[in-house]
Amino acid sequence: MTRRDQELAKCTACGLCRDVCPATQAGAPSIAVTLSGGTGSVFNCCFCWKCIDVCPHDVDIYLLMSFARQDTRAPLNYRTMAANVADSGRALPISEHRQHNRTRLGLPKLEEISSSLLKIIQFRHSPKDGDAKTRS
Amino acid sequence: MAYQIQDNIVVYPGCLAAVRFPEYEASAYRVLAALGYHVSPHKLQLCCGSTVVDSIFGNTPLPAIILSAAEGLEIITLCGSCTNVLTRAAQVQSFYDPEISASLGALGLSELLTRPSVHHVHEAIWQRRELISNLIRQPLSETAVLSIPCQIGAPAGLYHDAGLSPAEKMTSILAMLGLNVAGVAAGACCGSSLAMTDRRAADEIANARFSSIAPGSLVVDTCANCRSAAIRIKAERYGLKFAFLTEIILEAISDDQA
Repeated sequence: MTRRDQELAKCTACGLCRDVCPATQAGAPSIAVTLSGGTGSVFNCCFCWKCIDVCPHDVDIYLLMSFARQDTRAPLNYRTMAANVADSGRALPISEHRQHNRTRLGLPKLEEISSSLLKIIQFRHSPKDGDAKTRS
Repeated sequence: MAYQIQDNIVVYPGCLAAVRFPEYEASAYRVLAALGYHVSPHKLQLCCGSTVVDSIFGNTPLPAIILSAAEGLEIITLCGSCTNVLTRAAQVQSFYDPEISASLGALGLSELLTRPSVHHVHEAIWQRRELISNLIRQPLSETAVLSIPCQIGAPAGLYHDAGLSPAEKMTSILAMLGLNVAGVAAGACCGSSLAMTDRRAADEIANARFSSIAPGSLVVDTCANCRSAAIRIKAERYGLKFAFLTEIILEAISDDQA
C-alpha cells in the first residue's frame, strides 16, 4: 500500500475538513470537498491547514494534496511562477529598482543563481508545465 | 525544557520578503542582532519551494538545498510559507530521497546528519524577550491587531509545542512594547495563496479579515504573504496602518527614530 493509499484509507469522508475550509466557504471548493465526496480542485487552497487541525483521523491532507497536484495540470499563475523559479531560482524576478531598494536598506544584492544550480532545480521540471511564460 | 535557539543563526527571507518587502528583512536583521544573535544572511536566496515548486515539480530539491546550504546553522524565516515547507522538509521528507541527495552532492553540499531546525522570526524574538524591555527607547501606545500567518498558526503540532501559541507569544511581545493589542485579525488566513487560482474568493477572504479590524488600528504582520493580500485588496481603505513585527520592535528600541 502506498503512502497516499494509507492516508486515503484513514479518511472517512466525515466532512469536518470541508466545513472549516476558508476557500470552500468563499466559493472555491478545495480538496476538502473532494475528500468529503464532492468535487473540488486541489489548487483551491489557502494553505491554512485548518483541515489537518480538525481531522479526527490525522489524515495528512498536505501530502494528499501534494500528490494530487503532481497529477493535475496547474493553473496558469502556478505555472508562471514555476517558470520563474526554473529561470531564475526565485518565484519573483528581481528588478534593478528592487535591488536598489535592498541596497538602500543595507541589504546585500540578490545574486543571480548559478547555471549549475538552476540545472539541478530544472531537472524535475514536468513537461505539463512547459507552456508557462516567465512573468517580469 | 523548551528548545533554545542558538546564538548563530541564518536568516532566510524567502522570495516575497526579499523582493517586495526588504524593509521586513532589514528590520529582522537589526532586531535579531540587538537581541544578541549572530546573524548571517542565507547564502542561497532561492525560492523555498512552497506553493509553486512543491506542487508542480513534485519532490523538489529546493528545500533540501536551502537546509543544507545553512551549513548546520539554525534557519530563521520571515514568511509563513517558507516556514511550512522548510519545516516539513527538515522533519520528514527531502533528505530521504536519493535523487535529492545526489543533487546536493553535485552542489558540494553534504546531506546533513543533524538537520537544521527552522523557526519563524517571532520565536527567536520570543526566546530573548527578557532583553526587549531593557532595549526600549520609546514605548509605543497605538492599538494593534495581529495578522497571524495561517501556516504558522496551524497545524499546531507542527510549529509549536504544548506551550503558548504563536499568537500568544506575539501578543505578549507587542504588549512589552507598550502597544494595546486588540486581538488577532479574523479568519483562518489572508487568502493570499488562493489568489493564484481564484481571485474573487481570495479577495472575499482578505476583505473579511481586514474589514473586521477597527479603523485606525495598526496591523502587525508577520508574513509577507499577508501584507501582499492587504495591498492587493487595498486594505488601507479600511483606515488601517501596517507594519511588520520586526519593524515595530525596531521603532521601539531604536535611538534614531523620530
